[in-house]
Amino acid sequence: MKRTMKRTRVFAVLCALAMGLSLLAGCGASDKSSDSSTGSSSGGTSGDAGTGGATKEITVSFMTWESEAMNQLILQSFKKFEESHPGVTVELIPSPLTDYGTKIKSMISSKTAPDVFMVGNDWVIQYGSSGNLYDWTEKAAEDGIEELYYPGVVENWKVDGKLYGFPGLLNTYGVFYNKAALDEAGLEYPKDGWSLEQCLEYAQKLTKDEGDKHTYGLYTNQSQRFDPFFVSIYAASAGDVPFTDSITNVQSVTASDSFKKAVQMIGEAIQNGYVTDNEWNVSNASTMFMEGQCPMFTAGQWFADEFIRNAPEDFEWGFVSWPIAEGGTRASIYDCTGWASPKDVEDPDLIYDMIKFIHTEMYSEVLPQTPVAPPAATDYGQAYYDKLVEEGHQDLVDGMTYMLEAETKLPVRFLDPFASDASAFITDGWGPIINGTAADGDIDAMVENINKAITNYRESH
Amino acid sequence: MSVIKSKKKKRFIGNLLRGSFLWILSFAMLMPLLWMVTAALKSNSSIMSIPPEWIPKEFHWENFPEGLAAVSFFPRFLNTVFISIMCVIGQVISCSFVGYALARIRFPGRKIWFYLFVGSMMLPSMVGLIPVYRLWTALKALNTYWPLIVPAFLGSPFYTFLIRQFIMGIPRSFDDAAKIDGAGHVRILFQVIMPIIKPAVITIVIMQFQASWNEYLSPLIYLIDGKKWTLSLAVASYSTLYAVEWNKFMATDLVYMLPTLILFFVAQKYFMQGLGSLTTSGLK
Amino acid sequence: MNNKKTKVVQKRRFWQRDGFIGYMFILPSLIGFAIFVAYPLVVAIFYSFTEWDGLSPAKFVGLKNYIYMFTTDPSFPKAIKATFLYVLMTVPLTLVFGLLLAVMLNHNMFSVKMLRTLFYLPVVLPSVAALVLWKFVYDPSYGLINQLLAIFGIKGPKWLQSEDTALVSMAIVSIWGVGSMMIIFLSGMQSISSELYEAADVDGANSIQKFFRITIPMMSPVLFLQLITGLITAFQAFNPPQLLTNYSGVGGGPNYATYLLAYSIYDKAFNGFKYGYAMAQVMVLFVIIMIFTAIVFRFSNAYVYYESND
Repeated sequence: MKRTMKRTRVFAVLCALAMGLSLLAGCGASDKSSDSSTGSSSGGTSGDAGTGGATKEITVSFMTWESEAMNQLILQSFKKFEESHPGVTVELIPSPLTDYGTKIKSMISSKTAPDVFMVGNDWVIQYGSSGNLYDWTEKAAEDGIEELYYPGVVENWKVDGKLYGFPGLLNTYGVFYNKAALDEAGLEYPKDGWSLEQCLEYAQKLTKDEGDKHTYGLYTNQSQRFDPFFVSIYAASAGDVPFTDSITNVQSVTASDSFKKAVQMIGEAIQNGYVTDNEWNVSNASTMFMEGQCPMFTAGQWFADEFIRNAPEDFEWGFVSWPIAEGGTRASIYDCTGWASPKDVEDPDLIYDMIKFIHTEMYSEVLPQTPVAPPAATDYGQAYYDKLVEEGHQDLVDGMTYMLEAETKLPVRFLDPFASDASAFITDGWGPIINGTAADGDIDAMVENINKAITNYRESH
Repeated sequence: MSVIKSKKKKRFIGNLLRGSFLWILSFAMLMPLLWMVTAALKSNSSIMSIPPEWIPKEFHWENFPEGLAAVSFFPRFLNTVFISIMCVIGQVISCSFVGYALARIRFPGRKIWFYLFVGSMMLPSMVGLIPVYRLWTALKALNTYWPLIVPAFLGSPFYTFLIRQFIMGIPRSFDDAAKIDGAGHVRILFQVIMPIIKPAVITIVIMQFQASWNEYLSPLIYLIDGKKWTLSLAVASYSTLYAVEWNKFMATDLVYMLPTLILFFVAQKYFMQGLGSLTTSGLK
Repeated sequence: MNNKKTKVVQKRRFWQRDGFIGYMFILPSLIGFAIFVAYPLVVAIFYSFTEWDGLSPAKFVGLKNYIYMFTTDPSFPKAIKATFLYVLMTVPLTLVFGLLLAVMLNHNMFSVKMLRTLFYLPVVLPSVAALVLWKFVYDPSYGLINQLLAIFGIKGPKWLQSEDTALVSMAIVSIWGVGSMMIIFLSGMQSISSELYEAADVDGANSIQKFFRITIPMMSPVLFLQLITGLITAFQAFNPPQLLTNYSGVGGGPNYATYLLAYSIYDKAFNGFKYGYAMAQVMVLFVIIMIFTAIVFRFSNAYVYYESND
């Protein structure tokens, strides 16, 4: 009896301890949060944002999907901002790339979003039009910040004329090539503005079969393969109707004759084994390229960052613009990521300063160290370009500039709120179409379905 | 004599055949894992080589310390240990109470509640994500460990079911003996039942520890501060947009799964005893 | 002494009554049920009739989501097909495989503990890591499987990269986790009283007869339970599509071949800003699970044997 009584007591004490510990943990945790990250939990400032007077103690938070390494560089760069704004501490909120969207969404819905965070263009349109982001129109107009950017960029960050975010970095898409492979096949290095016809010809000449091992001439990276948006480049450059009739606020899609011609050419190349098919999907294609296993490789220019840092010493690579129509005009993809703030941000002036700092100084400092993408602000990419030239890649600079200066810009995906419904029809049938195994009317059927989805949306909104 | 001998021989051969087959099968099944181990020791580029390098040409042992350091392994390890232990305690306590009540206490509606609790497993777990998130937000519990720990104190249908079945296998005479001494339900639970259902409890410990250890979605949406992150988030953060260092990722993952593995191996016996209660009672 | 007796005879206060105590004891589960089951369910039903992007106020649209789901959405029929095929492939195979493994490991031979741990290993590995691993393994060019097949001169299929084989590849990964079912079966077998087997030996039964006449019937409650939990888990799987077949940030490719319904819900809600629609799909999934569970239950009397208890 006594022993069991004792055991019960011990158990009871343990339970109490457990409860107590968890309480402590909860308290401890929330204490910590009120110390360091009220920037995030109250969407702005900690301490007193007193009216005027002495320097206020403020913590501003930001969030990106960049790598840990780059985040640290960004944080370092913000030290200068802190110096010029005494009393301000800049804080980084980390996020794993894969569920960045989920995280941001939940933070916005619980009003704990960082003061400024990276966004994709479509998010700005979606969240901006539904009233969750801060409206920068006035501030931007006052300051004339719009002149900073490349042509045709900042308009896409507006919804009904209101500016809900700022362009940050532009992405361009092109073809990386293995110089040794081209040399071996006796091919001249391609020049910016080359045609799809020439590209596919190269692919054919670079395809190799050694026993069981088949090397494709052209490898398409999983996210930069020949989907309707990339094929649209061909159509637009040929002077024909592009796939989408605008970047945002799309009213309809079209599969013009040039579009279909491109699809047919690519389909043939895939059937012949010169180009990887639509389903080709490798965990780390970039490593394959660096190992010399891919003669040509479609990818975004940010892959250059990895190549520069990690490629073997003797690996020589080049970059050329995304192929257009033979004899056609310049056309390229518009893909821009940037920054936005939640609607209830506490100190917009401070955040605005921060955004300007990002454009003017932060990028200049960070990008040379991790050259991922050109800034959307035309004049501030010089440091980035210089770094690339320093690494021996004038071709990358040339290719990017060639594409950025194109007048005809096309979206890389649907940016409007009907994106999910419309894209479903692309996911559901594009594979056979581009692989060359689909029936004749399939492209038209897909286009029809997408247009129906768009009209459905437009009618009820 | 010879009959016994040949029977023994048969058994020996049978065991030998069975054993060899099982070893070969397990080797085949575990090849991906073996590959993972070799990948953890290679340089990033040699992971992709054709034909695959089984034995790394160079042993990059530094992948381990580098990989772990890159994701601030140790503090997150402590965080995850803390959360897991708390959840284990929570489940053991709550499921014991609930399971005992459903097994032993005659209260109105106990059968209905049992079916409701177990039936709630059918509801896709995704449903709770955003509503519960808003709840915690309203309670200002974001960026704390509360949302991760409190649910464990509210019982889980599966563990509750397990305990209930186990208790139902204990003869009531044990309870009655204690009742005669004047014990109420609480005393019976702690003094009589708990010692006997130890295997089931240990099963819960193992399974819940593993579940908490690998939990990803909840920490993702509730933990904002990098300092509070759990290991699952840390390891996931390896997938950056530009460069993935697969070798370090594999190395870190191997270390990540070590604790749960050790726990299983050590507590195997109890684990199986605990699950054995499900044999004869099933769902009633 | 006398005091004790009178105590027992005294009328019990209400907090001493079983009814009250019972509800106090199950209070944690009641709260949990209210918060994690009842409340989300009501919310989900409500939102399934709205259009909601997860942030702005929801807009009531009646049955529009359901109509869209069953008529226009190209991903839904594919999701249903993928989900059913997946469940039909993984659940029976895992059950059978798990049972066979358990039978073989139910002997006290040398290194059996080690073997059991080895088969359980895939279960211990965090699913994120396992899926990334399998993606490597399945690569048509430099993945493990095709390289091995090449040694035997067989040209391996495209596994995850072809519409035809992607789902099967995913199912194999799921069956790879058979260890957890195996352990449950194993522990079930170990608690079958050996007297039964001894009695059978006396009657001269061979192993096959013993298996089908003793092991399986005695195990039928566990088998039944595992069938139900296996079904429920398989219907709710959503990690594999995201990590194994990810195209441009969206899982479930190619051509929606592995677009499991549970993943569709996640995709529509978090990638597509269509939370209301996702909730409608949740309702559909819930109904499907309930129907299947009910069917299995209905037929359980035919093949499940319970020892008399309580």
